[in-house]
Amino acid sequence: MSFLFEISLIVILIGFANSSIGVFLVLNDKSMISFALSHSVLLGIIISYGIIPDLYSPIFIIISSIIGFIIVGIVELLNKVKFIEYNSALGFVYLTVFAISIILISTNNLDIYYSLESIVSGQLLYLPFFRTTYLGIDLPSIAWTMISLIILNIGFIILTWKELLITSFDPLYAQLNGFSTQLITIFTLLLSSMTIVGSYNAVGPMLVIAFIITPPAISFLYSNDLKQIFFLTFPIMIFCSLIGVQIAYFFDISPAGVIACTFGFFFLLSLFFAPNSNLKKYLFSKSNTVNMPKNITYDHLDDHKTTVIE
Amino acid sequence: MIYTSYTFLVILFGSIVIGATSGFLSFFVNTKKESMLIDAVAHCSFAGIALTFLYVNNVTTFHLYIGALIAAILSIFLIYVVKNTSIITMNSAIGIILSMMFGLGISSLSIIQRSNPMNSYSLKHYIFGNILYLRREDLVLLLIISTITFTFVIIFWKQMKTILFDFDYAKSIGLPIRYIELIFLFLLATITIVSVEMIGVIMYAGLLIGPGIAARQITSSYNRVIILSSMIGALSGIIGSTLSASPLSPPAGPSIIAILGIIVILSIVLSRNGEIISFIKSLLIARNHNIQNTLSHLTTHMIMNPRDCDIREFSIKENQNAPNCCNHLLDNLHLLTKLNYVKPLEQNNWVLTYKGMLMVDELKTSSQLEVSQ
Repeated sequence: MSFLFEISLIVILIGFANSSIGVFLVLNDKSMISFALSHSVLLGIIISYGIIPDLYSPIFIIISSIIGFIIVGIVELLNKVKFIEYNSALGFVYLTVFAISIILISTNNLDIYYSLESIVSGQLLYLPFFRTTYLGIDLPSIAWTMISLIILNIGFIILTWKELLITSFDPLYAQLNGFSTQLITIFTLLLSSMTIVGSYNAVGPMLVIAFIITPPAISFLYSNDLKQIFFLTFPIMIFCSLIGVQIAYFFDISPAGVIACTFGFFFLLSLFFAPNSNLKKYLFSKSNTVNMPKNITYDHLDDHKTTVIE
Repeated sequence: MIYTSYTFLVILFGSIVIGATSGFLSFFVNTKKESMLIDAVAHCSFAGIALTFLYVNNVTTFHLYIGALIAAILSIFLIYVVKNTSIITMNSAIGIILSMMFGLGISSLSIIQRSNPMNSYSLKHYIFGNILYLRREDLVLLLIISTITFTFVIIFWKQMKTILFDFDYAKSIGLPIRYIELIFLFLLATITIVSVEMIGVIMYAGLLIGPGIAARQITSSYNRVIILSSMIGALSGIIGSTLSASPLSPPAGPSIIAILGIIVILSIVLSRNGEIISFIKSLLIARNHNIQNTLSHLTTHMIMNPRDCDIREFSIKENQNAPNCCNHLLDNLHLLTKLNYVKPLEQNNWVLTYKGMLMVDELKTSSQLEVSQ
C-alpha cells in the first residue's frame, strides 16, 4: 500500500467515526460541547499517559475520554450557579483546562508530542510509521483504533436509533414514555469523547471539529429526512477528504489543515446551491421585500371585492 | 533581578493594559452571549496573520494587524451569513467557520515552514502567545486602541446599559442600536488582534470571558461589576506575566488564563451571594432550628406541667395516631445527644445533661417573658 493511500484511509476512517456521531451533536445543537470536549480531553490524555504510556490501547482511550467528559460535566455544575451564561461557562472551563494542560506539557517536557504546535495541527504524516498487524492485515495502529470506534458508534446508533430520534425531536414524549433522555445524551457525548481521543493524535483539537460538525452540517443543507441526512454525510465526507488529501499531496502542505479548509469551502459552496439555504434568494432577488407592500394592498383590496364603495 | 529590568517592566505594563481592557469589555461579552463568537474571531485571526506572512515580503507588525483584522471581520460576516440564511444554528456556524479558517492558517503555516523557516518560527508564537514579543511600538498601539475603547464605552455608558438590560425600550426611544453594536464588535475585534500576539489565538477568549464571571459573582451593581472585572483582568495579567518570567517559564497566555481560572473559582466559592456559602449557611440554620425547636418543645411541656419541672428525666411513648412524628422527635434527640444536651437511658428514657439544663433554663425564662408580655 502506498503512503498516500494509507493517509487517505486514515483520514476517511477518522471522518467516518467522527461524523457518524456528529450528526446527532449538530441536530441537538451540541456542537459547542464537542468543541469543549476536544479541548478538555488533552488533560485526560496527559493524566492517562502517566498511567498507560500507549496512545493506542483501549484503556488509555477510555480513561482520557472519561476525564474529558467529567470536565464538561463541570460546566453543567457551573451552569447551576447564579449569573453565569451557559456559553461563557463552557468557553471558560475548556480554555482554563486547555491552559493548564499546555502548562503541564511545556514545563514537564512530556514526550507525547513532538512540539507544542503539533498538539494544535496534529501529526497525521507520522502516523503510518506506527503499525500493528491484526488478523494477518498490516495497518497503521490508528486505523485499527478508528475501525473499532466506528463499530462502536454505528452499533450504538443502530441499537438506539428510535431513542435518539425521540430524544432529538420530542424530549417531552420521551419523558412521558419513561426513558431518560439524559442517559442517551451522556452516551452520545461519551462516544464522541472517545472518538475525539482516538483521532486526537492525527488532527488536533481545532481540526477535529471540522470532521465532527461540517459534513453533517453540509448534508443538513440538502435534506430534511434524518435517515437521508445520515447516509448523505459519508459520501460528502469521503469526497471532501479525498480532494483535501490530493491537494495537500500536490502542493506539499500539512493535510489536516487542508482537509478542514476543503470541508469549510464545500459548506460555503453548498450554501449557494442547497435547497435548505436561502442565500441565493437573499442575494439576487429583492422582489420579495419590494413586492411585499404591493401584495398586501392587493390582498386587502381583494377582501373588499364585495363591498360597495359609494 | 529580572523583575526590575526594563524589558520586564514593559511586558508587565502591556499585560496590565491588555488585562484591564479585556476585563472592561468582558461583562458586555458575557451578557450578550457573544463569548463563543469572540473565541471564533481570535482563532480566525490566525489565518489572516499566516496569510500575511505568506504574501507580504517585508512583514511588519502593522501588516499583520491589518491582515488579522480583515480575517476577523470576514469570519464574523461569514458566521452571521451562515446563521441568517440557513437552518444551521449559531453554534454550528461558529464551529464550521472557525475550523475552516484555522485549517487555512495551519496549512499556510506549513507552507511557510517549508519556504522560510525563520518566519515560521515567529509565526508559531501566535498560537500560544509569547510575551517577549511585546515591544514599545506595540505598547503604544495597544495604549491607543485601549484608550479609544475606554472612551467609547464611557461616552455610550448609559446607552450600552439600556441596550443590555431593556432592548425594547432602547429600540422605542430610537437609539442607534445597530451602529453601537457594530462599533462595539469592531472594537472587540481590534483589541483581540492586538492582544493575540501576547496571549495567543487559542487562549485570548478566556481573558474576555473570565473577569466578567468573577466580578458578577462578587457584586451586582452595573458600574461596580465593570470596574471590578477590569481590575481582575489586570491582576491576572500581572500574576500571569510574572509567573511566565520565572525560571519555570510556562507560556504567557496559558499561565494568565490559569491564574484567571483560579480567581474565578475563588470568587464562586467565596462570594457573598454564592451558591456554596449559602448552601452551607442553610444547612447550619436548619440544624440550629431543629435543636432549638426540640428544646423549646420540651420546655413548654415543663411549663405546662410544673410538677415535672424539677425532674430531669422524661420518657417518650409512641403515639399510635402519628408514628412519624415520634420518629422525627427521636432523630432530633439523637442530634441533641451528639451535642451533649441530653443523655439516653434504657427504654426510651432520656435525661437532660447540665448543658441541656442551662439551655432549657434560658429558653424557659425567655418563653415566660414572652408569655408575661
